[in-house]
Amino acid sequence: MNSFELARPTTLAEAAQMLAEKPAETAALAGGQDLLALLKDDVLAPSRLVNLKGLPGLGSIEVDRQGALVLGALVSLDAVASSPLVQKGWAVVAAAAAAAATPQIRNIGTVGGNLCQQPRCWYYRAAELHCARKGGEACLAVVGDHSLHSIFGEVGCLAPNMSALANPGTCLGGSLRLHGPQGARTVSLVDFYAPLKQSLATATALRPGEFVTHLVLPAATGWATAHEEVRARQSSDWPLAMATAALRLTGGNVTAARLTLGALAPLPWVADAEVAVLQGKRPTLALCEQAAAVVVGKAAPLPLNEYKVTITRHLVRRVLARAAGLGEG
Amino acid sequence: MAAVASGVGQRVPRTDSADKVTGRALYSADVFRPGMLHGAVLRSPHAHARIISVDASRAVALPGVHAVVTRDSLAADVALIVEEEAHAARRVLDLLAAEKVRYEGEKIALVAAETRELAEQAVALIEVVYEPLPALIDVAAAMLPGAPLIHDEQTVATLDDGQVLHNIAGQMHRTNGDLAAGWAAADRVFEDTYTIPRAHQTYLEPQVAVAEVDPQGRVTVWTSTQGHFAIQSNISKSLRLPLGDINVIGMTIGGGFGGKFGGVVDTYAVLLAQASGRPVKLVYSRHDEFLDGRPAPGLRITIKTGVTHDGRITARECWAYWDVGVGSGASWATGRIKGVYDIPAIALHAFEVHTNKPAPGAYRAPGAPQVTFASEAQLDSIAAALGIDPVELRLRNLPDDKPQVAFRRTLLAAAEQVDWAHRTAGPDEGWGVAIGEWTNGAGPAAAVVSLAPDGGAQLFYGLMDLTGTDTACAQIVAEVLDLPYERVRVTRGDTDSAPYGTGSGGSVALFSFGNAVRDAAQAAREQLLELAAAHFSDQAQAVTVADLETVDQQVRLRANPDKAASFAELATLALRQGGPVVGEGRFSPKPSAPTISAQIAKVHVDRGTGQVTLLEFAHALDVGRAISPVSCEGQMEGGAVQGLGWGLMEEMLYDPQTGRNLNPDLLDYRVPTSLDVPPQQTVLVEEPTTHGPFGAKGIGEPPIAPGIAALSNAIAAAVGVRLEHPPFTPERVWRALQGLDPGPART
Ligand SMILES: Cc1cc2nc3c(=O)[nH]c(=O)nc-3n(C[C@H](O)[C@H](O)[C@H](O)COP(=O)(O)OP(=O)(O)OC[C@H]3O[C@@H](n4cnc5c(N)ncnc54)[C@H](O)[C@@H]3O)c2cc1C
Repeated sequence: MNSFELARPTTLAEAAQMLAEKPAETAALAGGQDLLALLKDDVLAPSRLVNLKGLPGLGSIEVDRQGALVLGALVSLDAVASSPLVQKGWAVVAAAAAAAATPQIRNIGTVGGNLCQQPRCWYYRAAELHCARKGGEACLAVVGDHSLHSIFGEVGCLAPNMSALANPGTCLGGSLRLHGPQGARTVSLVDFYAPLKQSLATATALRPGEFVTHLVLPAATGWATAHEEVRARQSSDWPLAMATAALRLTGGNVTAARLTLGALAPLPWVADAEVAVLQGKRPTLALCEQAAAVVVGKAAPLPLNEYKVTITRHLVRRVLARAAGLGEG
Repeated sequence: MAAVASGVGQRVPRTDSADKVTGRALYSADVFRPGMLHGAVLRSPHAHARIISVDASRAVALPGVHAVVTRDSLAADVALIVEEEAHAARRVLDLLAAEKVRYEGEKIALVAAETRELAEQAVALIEVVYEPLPALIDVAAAMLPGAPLIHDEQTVATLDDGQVLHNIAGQMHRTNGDLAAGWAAADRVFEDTYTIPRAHQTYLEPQVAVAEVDPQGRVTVWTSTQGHFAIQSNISKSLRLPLGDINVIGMTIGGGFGGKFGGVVDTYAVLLAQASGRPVKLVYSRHDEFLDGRPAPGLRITIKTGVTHDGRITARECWAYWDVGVGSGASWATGRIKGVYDIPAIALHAFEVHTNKPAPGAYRAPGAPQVTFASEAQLDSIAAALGIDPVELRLRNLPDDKPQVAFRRTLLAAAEQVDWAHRTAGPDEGWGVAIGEWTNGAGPAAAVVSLAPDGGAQLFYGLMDLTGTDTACAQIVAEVLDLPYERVRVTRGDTDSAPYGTGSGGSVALFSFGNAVRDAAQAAREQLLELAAAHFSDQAQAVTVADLETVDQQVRLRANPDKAASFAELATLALRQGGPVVGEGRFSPKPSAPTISAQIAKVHVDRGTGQVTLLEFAHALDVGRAISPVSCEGQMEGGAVQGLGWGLMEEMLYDPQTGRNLNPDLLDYRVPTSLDVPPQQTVLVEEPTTHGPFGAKGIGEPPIAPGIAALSNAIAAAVGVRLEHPPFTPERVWRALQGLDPGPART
């Protein structure tokens, strides 16, 4: 592990300035559940860590005047999972947080760290290997073992986005408040991850010196939601696939449908267009199955992750059925 | 002997629990010696490459570095020699890679420095130029006549039929009975191929050793091992040091499961201590464990079985290809393909195949889970094809129970536990049964039991306690002497002080040491009674030992309970009359009797996601005699979870392109958590064996053997597909449900 300096800012402005000085050699530190492992494994070797944990105003769970949920970046996953406020109004977010990692990691891992975690990929995480995500020529998973990798989205890197919060957050139309040397701004979660499509070097919309201060989720009233994950192991593990569905039902008919998939694409995979087949219809299991087939029609699996297509089809059918009140599907 | 509340067969807490849960137990990493340095290892990043050059000059020049050991600085006559008495295995390997590296993580150079960080920094300064070679990870590819040879020309084998195979480390061929007659008697013949990946022992405490060399060259090693005498002998043979110049201190061990018989860190810590003249600590990381531990070998096996219409096995033949990496030794376990069944004719062809992976070692019932999976999964498909109940089919082929042997009783005990005959299953749920067998070995053992002046007992021996054997031995002393087991202090000697004893592997420990401990306690008891007899005798009455009994830590006259002396009084008296009470017990190997572990699993298979959920699990084991029932159940549960883990999620994955280990950590190498395994129903069957202490059999191994097969059989019952390649991950279940093959080799 590289030696590093630990900087401890006490104001947002100070943090932004410290992060901006040598952005290529600096990393923000929150709970450290992802970052410290990357340092120990020599995957990242920043010369400075900026500890965000001393910053004021990032530790609370609140509902603002518009009824939106505002989660501070330093709120722990466990606090999100066990908050009655979140459980009541944004149940899928609480469910996703509760399913992530382990009790110990959920006690320490934060909202900001969860959203900004680095890719889970055994090629990316091997210090000696120089994969596309690290500036190398090729994504090694393509010719190697991609059994845990993406089936959607072509960005030149198969490592899927694993963030438990990004998935329901995106589905519910969430956004992030960022703070940087130029002050604060807000970006939607969709835009936050979109830069990956342009360049593997810029995984998120964070500019030099910027960091996440809050995750904001609009009031979900009127939406019927469901979230599910499939895991090879029931704890201490990332999902093989996750899906969040949100349906607006009027007079028994679907008037709006949203679906986001996680662990299946390099960024949260928005499949709203595909589930539009539900639009204006009374949901049935057959219709949910049909929508699921349309969703996975977009998949481009490789030989070892083809199974994820079947998993996804079932998962999508289930979350749509559950959201529509059709039982477990 | 009166029954002692904490004697043989009683449920008592382990003697080491409190120290472990309060952090007082001292592990090897807790050892700090004055002036101690920290070691680090330069490992190959390539699975297979020629070493063009090694330049350690920058590492040597780094301030704070005290020793750099490379291949060139080793004496010509040293090698890494590891002998496992308990598993009858012997491996001779290069200490450090020479002209080639043959697996990712192979050791190339060693450094000792003031801190671990500095040592690692120095390692990174060593420059090695490699010429990468194609890596072989799959036994089928490695055996092809065109495959590059990982070792030398001697690994080219020509079979009787003229076929040429590459990378063959060893072969074993054996036929028992009249095979032709067996096939002729068969109404149906089944042939199936199974592939079992490598699995790591994943003991909680990684490999660790501290070594110190005194000015006379005498070596002391503190280490985490299953057998400190084995470590002593291995170091002596590897580094050509006189045995008596090495003292090995076995510290508290954080798990071994067969993987801690040495040659991984101990010898290297000694090399660094010799080179630096300072004590050196060498600690493995979890990453090191996966790259350069000694995991269980993988196996590709084809098995052909002939049966009559009513399900009697007439003949069996199998072809086993063991993935022994750069090592050897595994094929002997192929004999388990017979199981405990009556099979009139059987032929084995076993090959040990080199791949670019580390040498394998022992893992709990070495080879048994792999072979048992093949034979018990195939038996299940035979039962289905013949329309015979799987328990019934097994009963038809099991020999009758007799003294010492209770196969049928054990299988029926598991079946009864789940009410097999009336089992019910919902949609996509199924039950599977499998049995695994093991006969424990035995090794030399000795023990000394003495009485302290306070009347408490002291047990001294050279037994490494992995599984609760100290507790069981304290219970034996308590039983014989008629004392509460808390009054028995157990001390493990180092190799300088303790009489020789076998290592704790192969389920030999309690079987062997239990006998020595019982005899030592018995000898002490006799001394005590003789002393008491003399003490109670007077002109009026000559008391003999036969007139005495022990009650409440007292010896008293049967006929006159008021005439009594406490153990403390007698032990104190002994100091003046005849000398302290000391009994000794010795044991040399004697045969045990075979035991089976019968397991029944109920699973649910999600056809959509491929997830297998274990719903129920019952497990019966013939333990001979449960000296410590709590420990027996612990062994059953722990062993079963390891088998189930191998079946559900554990496998060492290798990159098909580079041969690198893809999951060298406990995130991607999944071991089951408490959420993945339901509570187990354990049934202890007790059919005593003649030479076991109080009838006990060695029971550590068998619980791991049948789990993979029980799972695969349950999955087949649930969804009608047979999985031939564990672990049964969502991906493999999906492939099977689609009717696809298990996919390319990755293990
Ligand atoms: C065994 C295991 C299982 C796991 N399973 C799951 C799972 O199922 N689902 C899941 O979603 N996650 C899972 N995780 C990941 C875990 O949830 C995250 O590691 C954790 O939430 C990270 O939070 P942290 O505060 O510790 O982040 P850190 O490790 O401190 O930071 C992670 C990354 O985010 C950056 N960062 C942190 N905070 C900010 C901020 N406010 N602004 C900008 N950048 C920031 C850091 O620079 C770093 O790159 C698992 C992790 C482990 C070890």
